[in-house]
Amino acid sequence: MVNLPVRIEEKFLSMDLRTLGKDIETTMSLFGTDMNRATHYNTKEELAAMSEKEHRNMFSLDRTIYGCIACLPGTTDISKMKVVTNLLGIKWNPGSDFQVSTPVLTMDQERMIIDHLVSTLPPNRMINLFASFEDNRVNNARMRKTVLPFILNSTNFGWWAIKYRKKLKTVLSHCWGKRMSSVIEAILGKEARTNKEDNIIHTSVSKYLVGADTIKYDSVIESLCFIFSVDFNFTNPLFVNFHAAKTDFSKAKGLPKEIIEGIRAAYHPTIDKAETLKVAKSSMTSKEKRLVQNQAQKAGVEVKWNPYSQPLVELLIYGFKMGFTNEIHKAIEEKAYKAAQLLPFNYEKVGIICDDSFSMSGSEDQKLKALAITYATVEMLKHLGNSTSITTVSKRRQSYSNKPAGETNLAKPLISLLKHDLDAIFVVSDGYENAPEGRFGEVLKIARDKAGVDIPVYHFNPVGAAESKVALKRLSNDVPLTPVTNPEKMGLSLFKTMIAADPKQGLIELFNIVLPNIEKTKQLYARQNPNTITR
Amino acid sequence: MEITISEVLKGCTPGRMQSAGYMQMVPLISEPDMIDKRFGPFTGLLSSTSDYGTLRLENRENHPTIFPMGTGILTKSHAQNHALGKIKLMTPMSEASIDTAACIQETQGGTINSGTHTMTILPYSIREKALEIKDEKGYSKLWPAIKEFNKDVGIENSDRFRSMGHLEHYLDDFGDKLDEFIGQFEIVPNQVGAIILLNGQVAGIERSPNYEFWKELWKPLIRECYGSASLVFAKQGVKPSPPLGRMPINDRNVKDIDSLEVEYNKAELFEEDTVKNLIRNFISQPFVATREENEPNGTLCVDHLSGNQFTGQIVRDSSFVVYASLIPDKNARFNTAANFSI
Repeated sequence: MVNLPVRIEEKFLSMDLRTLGKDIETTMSLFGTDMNRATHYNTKEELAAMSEKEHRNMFSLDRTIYGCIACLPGTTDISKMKVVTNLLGIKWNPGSDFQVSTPVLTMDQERMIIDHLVSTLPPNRMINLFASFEDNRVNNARMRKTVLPFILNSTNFGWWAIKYRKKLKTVLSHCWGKRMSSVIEAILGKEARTNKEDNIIHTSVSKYLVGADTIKYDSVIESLCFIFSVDFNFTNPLFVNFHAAKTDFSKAKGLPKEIIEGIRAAYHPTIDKAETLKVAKSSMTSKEKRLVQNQAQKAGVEVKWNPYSQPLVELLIYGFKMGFTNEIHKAIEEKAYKAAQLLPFNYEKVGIICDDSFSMSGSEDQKLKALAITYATVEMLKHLGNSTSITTVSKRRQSYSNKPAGETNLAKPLISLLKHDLDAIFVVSDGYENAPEGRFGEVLKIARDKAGVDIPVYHFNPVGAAESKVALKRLSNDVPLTPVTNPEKMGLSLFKTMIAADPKQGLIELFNIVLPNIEKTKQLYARQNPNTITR
Repeated sequence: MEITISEVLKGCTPGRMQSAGYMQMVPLISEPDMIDKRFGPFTGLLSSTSDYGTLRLENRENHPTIFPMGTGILTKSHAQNHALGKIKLMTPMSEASIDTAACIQETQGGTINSGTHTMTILPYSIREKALEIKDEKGYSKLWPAIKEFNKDVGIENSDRFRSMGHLEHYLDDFGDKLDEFIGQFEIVPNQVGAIILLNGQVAGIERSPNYEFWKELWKPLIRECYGSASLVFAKQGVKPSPPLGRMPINDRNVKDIDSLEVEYNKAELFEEDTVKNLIRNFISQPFVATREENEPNGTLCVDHLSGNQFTGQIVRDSSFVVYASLIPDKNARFNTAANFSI
């Protein structure tokens, strides 16, 4: 538990909690699904307009609650990017038309929220976000104090300089201004600098370096020279190899995969494309390594990858295709445990019904995705109780090697779980009950009305992208439904369920989960360095 | 020659009934030694049209297969989709040219190039019509049935092409609903067929040679053929009738979880008995079998069956039926499963 914000009671008194709860629910739905893409029902433009309206509404109710919601696991990267843009782009001005009341959290806490959101974005999204500030006219000191430390302090700055060269140039030029960027570019090319020039570099660069020494400073300056195409005597092997690979392809080793492919296509078109894989294997990201396993196996190339850096669902899909090694089992177990710690439940004894019926095979284009989401969810949920009973719909012992089979009878496993003295029951199923339809709800109702059962029952429905067009199937109106796309990030969906049931408690739990996390980010990203570092 | 449903279903046992919405399905499960593994997938057949109304099929595999009753060929290229009302038995490494095929895409010109194309099973009412006029020549013979069907499911008339004999609009417009429909039913292990009920009445008896064949037939048959009837019911505002044999759990005696389990088991037993009675009720129905096709130098043959309540086609090996598709005769449409006893 954390110290709740002092203004929270004030907030509860000043607002209609049901309305606030409804608004938060709507916002959570949006944050969990916004992918900035057209859907079956709406064009991209229609969705963007709806999204903009919801963002504005929640922002005006309380910009810090708005930020906290975005910190929940399950918020899409697109939503995080929009929240950061709004928080940085709109002045802290309580009492204005657009910010009706004083926010629950302080301005400093909001800055931590921004840092937290940025830190959870993958590098490509983070750089895209920063690059979008120019078009979105986000141009203020708070923006610079966010962007420059993140970029310049990254241990991957050199790597990003190679991979995202043009975008980083846009980002830095926007932060410094066009004129100042030209000035900095000119200074970077100079062998000797005046005091004034040193000051310019300090104000624009070294001021933002945290715990920097001369080695770090030199490395940042070298990366900046690469980004701005300044003539420089490069020592960083990445930059040296980038130039050398244009004449000798073997030197491309260690560069990003797409850069290697670009160099091959532009400077060495006669070299076979498969050669890229061999040269790139040491520098691929974990995701890239996982995705090329099949291809690598065929080509006889061993590409080692780290299962711990993969999403749970992807690990299971990989296991279905390539088999489950002890290492993968262990990674699944550890990742599920870690992700479960972010869920707002903690029980003594829980029961889980795992649907492994035929319909969990998934659609043609997403084979076994539903089953992978189901197993991943079960793995997480079993950590929510000190003891857990798991029962499967197919009556088989739960195992990853079980292929989906048979009808969906959820009522029978429910009766068998109700015999145990449980604190909660979780049903992980697509909800397509057919033996017969509606029997689960019928049994639960009788158990509640006649047998005095008052155990909470929650339904988790795995949603693959392909099925998202089809309405989610509920088991019963009395059973809260939580859609799950990515189990590791289902915090958002679960909070939605909680907020709907009890807005006040839900909001308290929101702060309980979010505030410790943003505090951790604060420790990682201190802001300014008062010491001047020059060469 | 006479044959009964009992003989058609020989080697199968009924599984547990699945019910959702307008449909109920009783899986037919094959006894392990009765599975005919000789038959390969039908989706691997090469198909083409050489003229309007003439469908060519080619089996390049070393196993026999069956072009199911009422199958349509769909192509995305500029060519006219075609369908066949009857079964076509395809022996290993064989070719066939059938000049009683029907166009299912009225205003589209062009012939289909040879290849493996997407296959569908015609919507329920069109399949019924296609079987009725299976031997008639005339590529336009199904257009009236398609138009009628399109009207029944509410395909708009705003575009004149949409109100014509085009089946693809149904598949395009109702894709999501059909996905949802099929999502409610599931193949069970060793299933080779099913007895299908629509709104409480028997609407079809389907059997295939083996589990793999059934898995392949499942989607076009359940989703596109039987799913269409569900759409028509919904459009007509028909309320789903209580599933046949569905017995609510008697809650009067429930005091705790153990007594709930007892009452649950009673309801389940009643439903199982209903399935058995349902089958018992029509199992002795006789059909007149008329030979349609014989395997050259082999024991396989195709028969057309006509009876008092059902009509359809079967493939058999001597006396053992390996494939069957039976639908209620139009005059005894949606044969009720009355008269079962409790």
